[in-house]
Amino acid sequence: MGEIFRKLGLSGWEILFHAVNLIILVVALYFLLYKPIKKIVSNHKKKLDEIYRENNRMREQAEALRCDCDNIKQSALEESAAIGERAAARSREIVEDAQKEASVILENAQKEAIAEKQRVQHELHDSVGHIAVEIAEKILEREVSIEDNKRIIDESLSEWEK
Amino acid sequence: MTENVKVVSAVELDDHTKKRIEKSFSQKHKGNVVYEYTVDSSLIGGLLVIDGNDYYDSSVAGKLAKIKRNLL
Repeated sequence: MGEIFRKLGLSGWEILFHAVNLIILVVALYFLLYKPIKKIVSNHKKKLDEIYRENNRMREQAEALRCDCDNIKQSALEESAAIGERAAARSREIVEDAQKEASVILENAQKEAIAEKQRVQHELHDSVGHIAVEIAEKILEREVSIEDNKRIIDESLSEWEK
Repeated sequence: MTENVKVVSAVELDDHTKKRIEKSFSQKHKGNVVYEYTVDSSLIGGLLVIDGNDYYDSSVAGKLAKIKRNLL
């Protein structure tokens, strides 16, 4: 071994010196380079993990909101369908009520018309009757003779004498 | 007791008719009866005899009024 070193031109102290240098270099690199870089990488990793976690949380929130939206949308659709049905039913009710009311009004109008017609007929009948009697009165005032009068009196007395 | 009978006619009555009236209505009364004769041309013809609360209406005007009532 010593011979090999002599042939290479290296002495023991130089090898030792270089070895110590190497060790010092490695140690220095460890503390000056490796550990800081490792710390930086570790910090970055933590930040990335945090970002991933935050991302997942927001994705979950978004998913939950999407489900809520779907539910709200479904409820809105159902409610609008129900409102539509109620409106249709109400409009049918209104139409039926209006038809019934119209029938009642028409019936009442017909009854009133019939009553009015009867009233006018009665009035006309009465008027014609009165006029006829008045005309008869006027005619009889002129036409009843003394003989007619005597005959009426005789007939009345014959009736009362019974 | 004296009772009054009012006789209304459209024209003046002759004595014969008056006697017939008095004979007819005296049978219904026990006491004396006083007859009051009146002429009212609005009767048109016939007689109206008012005997107390009783009315005997054979006048033409009365018959026309009855027809008018029946027409109502």
